Amino acid sequence: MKSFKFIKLYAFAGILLFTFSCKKPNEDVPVIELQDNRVFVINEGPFQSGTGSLSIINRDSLTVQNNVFEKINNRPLGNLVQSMEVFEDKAYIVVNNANRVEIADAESLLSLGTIENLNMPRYFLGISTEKAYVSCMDNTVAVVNLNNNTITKNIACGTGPERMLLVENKTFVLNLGAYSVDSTISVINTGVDTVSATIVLAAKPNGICNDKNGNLWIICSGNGWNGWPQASDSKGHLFCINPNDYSIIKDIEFPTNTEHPEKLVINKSKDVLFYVMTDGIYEFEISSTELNTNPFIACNTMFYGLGFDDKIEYIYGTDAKDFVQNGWVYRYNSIDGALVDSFNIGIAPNGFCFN
Amino acid sequence: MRNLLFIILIVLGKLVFCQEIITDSVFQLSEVNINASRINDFSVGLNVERIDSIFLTNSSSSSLGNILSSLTSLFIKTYGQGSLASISLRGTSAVQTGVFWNGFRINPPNTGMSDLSLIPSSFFSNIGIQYGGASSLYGSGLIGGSVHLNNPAVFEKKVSFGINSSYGSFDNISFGGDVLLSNEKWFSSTAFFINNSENDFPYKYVNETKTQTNAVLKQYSFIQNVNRKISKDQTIKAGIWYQFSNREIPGTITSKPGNAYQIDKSLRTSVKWEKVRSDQKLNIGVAFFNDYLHYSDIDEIPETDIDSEFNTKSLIVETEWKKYFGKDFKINTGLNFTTEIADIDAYHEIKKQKQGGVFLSVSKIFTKIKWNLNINIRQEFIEGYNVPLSPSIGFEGKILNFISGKINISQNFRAPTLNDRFWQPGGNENLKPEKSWNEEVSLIFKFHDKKSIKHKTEMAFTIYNSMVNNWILWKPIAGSALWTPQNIQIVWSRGFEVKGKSKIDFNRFKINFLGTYTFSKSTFQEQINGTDNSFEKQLIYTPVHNFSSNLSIIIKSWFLLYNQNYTGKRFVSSDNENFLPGFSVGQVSFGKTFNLNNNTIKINFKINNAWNTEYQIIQYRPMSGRSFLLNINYKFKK
Repeated sequence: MKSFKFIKLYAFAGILLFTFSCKKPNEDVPVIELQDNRVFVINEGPFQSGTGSLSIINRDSLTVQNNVFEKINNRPLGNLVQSMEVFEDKAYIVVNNANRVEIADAESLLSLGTIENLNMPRYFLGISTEKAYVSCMDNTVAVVNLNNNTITKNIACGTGPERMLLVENKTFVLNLGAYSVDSTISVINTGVDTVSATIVLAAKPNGICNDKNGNLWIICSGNGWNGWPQASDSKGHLFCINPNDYSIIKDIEFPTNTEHPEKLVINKSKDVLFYVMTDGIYEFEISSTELNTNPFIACNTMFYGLGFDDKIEYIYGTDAKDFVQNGWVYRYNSIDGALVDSFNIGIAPNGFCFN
Repeated sequence: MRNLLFIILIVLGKLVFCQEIITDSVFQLSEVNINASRINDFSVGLNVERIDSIFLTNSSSSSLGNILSSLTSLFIKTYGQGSLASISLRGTSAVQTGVFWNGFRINPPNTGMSDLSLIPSSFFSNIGIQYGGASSLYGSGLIGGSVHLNNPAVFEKKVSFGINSSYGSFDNISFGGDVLLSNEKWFSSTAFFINNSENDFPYKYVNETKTQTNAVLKQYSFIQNVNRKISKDQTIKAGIWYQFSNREIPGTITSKPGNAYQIDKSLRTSVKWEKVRSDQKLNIGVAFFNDYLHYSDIDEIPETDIDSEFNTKSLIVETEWKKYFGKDFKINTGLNFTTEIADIDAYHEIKKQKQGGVFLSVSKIFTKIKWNLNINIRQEFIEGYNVPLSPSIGFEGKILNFISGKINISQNFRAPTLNDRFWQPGGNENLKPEKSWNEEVSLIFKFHDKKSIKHKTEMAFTIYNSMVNNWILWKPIAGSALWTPQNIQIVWSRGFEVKGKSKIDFNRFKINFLGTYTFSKSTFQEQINGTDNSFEKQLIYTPVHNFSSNLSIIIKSWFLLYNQNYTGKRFVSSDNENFLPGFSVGQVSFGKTFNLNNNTIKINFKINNAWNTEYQIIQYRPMSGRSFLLNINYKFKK
């Protein structure tokens, strides 16, 4: 009798083992609806071992689709999706820590290949139908031949080149400083792909826009971290420069060296700038000579991403929360700064692509 | 109970001097033994599990991380073969679990987390796991529980010598040896372990088979224990343990191939003087630990290069006195002083932290009802902040002839690590210690008739609950890219454990079964702001379900071991929107033992991940599929 009990016990254990060894079939992959009136949200993804993703917000239906690239192409984008540009009907998605740019059809998002062998790429800028620039953390801007998606040249810039802006035949490259500090802008002559000038501004040039007068606006964060005052901190600056002779038209200093402004976007009529501080989004009229002391859109968190949607003239901000959960996108009316709506988005949203 | 106590008190004078030996208390009640260490003697109401030697001796080349993940239902968070492996006990984190060697805590003070992948399991003849809060016994960091590594000494004439070598898939080569010499006055045990694994295993990624790169592990380690009985009642115990490893750090599937490597060196020494009388025991011990880590990630981009050194030293002095008053009442009291020194690039200067602790335990046996009551209290003093008092109360005994019960309630804490306090930028010197209340109740059933010792089946059910306040979480400062630790969360961990153990022993035919299921729910209880979706959600990388089963069959000189584990789904985002699916991994090992006079040769063939399960423990970090290992062990005993 006793041994029978034991047999039962082992049989039970065996069933348990078997049950746990079985696999469940995969879930069905949901169908993505890709529509015209859409905004891409770039989600960096979890910092260490995750993958970044793309989300789509539909301006009409106000619906969100997350993780669209993976759903369409059955593979993740890769670790730390930094930015995205649509150029010549193709989407170029820069995957920083995977050393590559993913190319996809801008309509269907079907993968069309990759640009490989980039060293920690940050931003993509289309120059001509045959040529693009990719800023990389190896202190260069890679010149990419868009016919075969190979790198033809690396243009040495300052430390940690990031955002770029094309004005006629000049590309202005902001040297943010990577893990250290830089205060310069490299100007690349796009005809010959060489640096023709270096403009010295202030520490950590972070964002660049051109206004209706043809002038350039650059925001420099200053040295240091928000919320972590150190002796080495320096003040942020907002510069207006002439793109032809690089002369400084305006240099507006931020009042303290403990607050470091970030991001810079301009409205549709190109006369009002927006940037972020720890207490919200600030507005700056280009004719002004003084900074606003109060935020245009007050918020208890510093937006991780900032965008201006010319089509509907909304300001977009992202909140990355704890960087390990889905973040949020907030949309504000650019006239009075009123909150329009908000969307739960992918992990660590850092920016937008309005096409 | 009363008879047992008498017997023990009578034989006390003759008792061998043993070290901090761990006995299994999951299925039984705490033993009464003058030599028992604090973890057994004053852990009334808690469960202490000893890893069964049947499973331990067949895994000579495994790391402690591998052993615990296959033999227990603990969740071992490993970044892949040969990579960092940390422990999660009852839904808590690795910093809330203490790892002890010879009774001294070895968690490095900078991270607070022991890497179990580098600890050779063959170095310890006695490995124990204590579940639940035990700050009242051991101070900071025992919210989830603790792991105890020991080499108990036996003073009898004995000589043994062994070598163990193994070769496995992906060029996993290891070689180890041990020598044990003892007589009535001396006990010496020596062991070394050398391992080299390429870990270039194939894995599947989107219909493509890739090969793991940059994952080579090279390690060697050495341990020496010497115990000397200097008089009838005095013993000196000394140990030295050194380990070196140089390993590459592979990248994830979704990022560029890894290029980083890491060198770890740890030197651990301890000396203890012990005096044992029939009714009391006094010991004074000193331990010195030095952990060195060099992490290097250098590639074509000098701006993003990381080349950092982390050097920490800990000096621990502890004294403890235990005294029996009659046969049913005993006390234990002691003092602990610890100094930690950290020379870490990111701290910008050498940081020192001093702490002290005073503890008192009383234990009373109510002989009439056969229940044991135990009250512990400990107060730590740590430079820079206030530490809560850690009291605990435990009660255990027989309910019916075959049912016993246990209950334990304690307040526990974890001091911030040195990284939490001093890391630049981000470190927060104003952090408070995490504080928790832990409660647990266990019922133990023994289904064996006393006439026969050939069958034995035991089951234990435990329900636990803990609420951790001031939970330290690294979070970005106001949306800036800078992260800082903050005491902002409350974590509620609760669940239950079911353990079953069964033995059949007919001399030439033995079956041993061990099964454990753990249900552990750990959720954030504080909503940071209105849109924080981590509120009331399970912590990331903390499985709710864990199941482990082990079966060993020995027929004459042949043996078969089978192990099947299931780890439930683990969320990878704090809002529980993303998760890794559950997986089940099996392991089969079989072999034969050849005996010739004093010589034993054991040949053993092992299949890891026998059903070739594809799984990830950490997202986008591949784990190897089926792999094989051949192990040959030679032992001479006299």
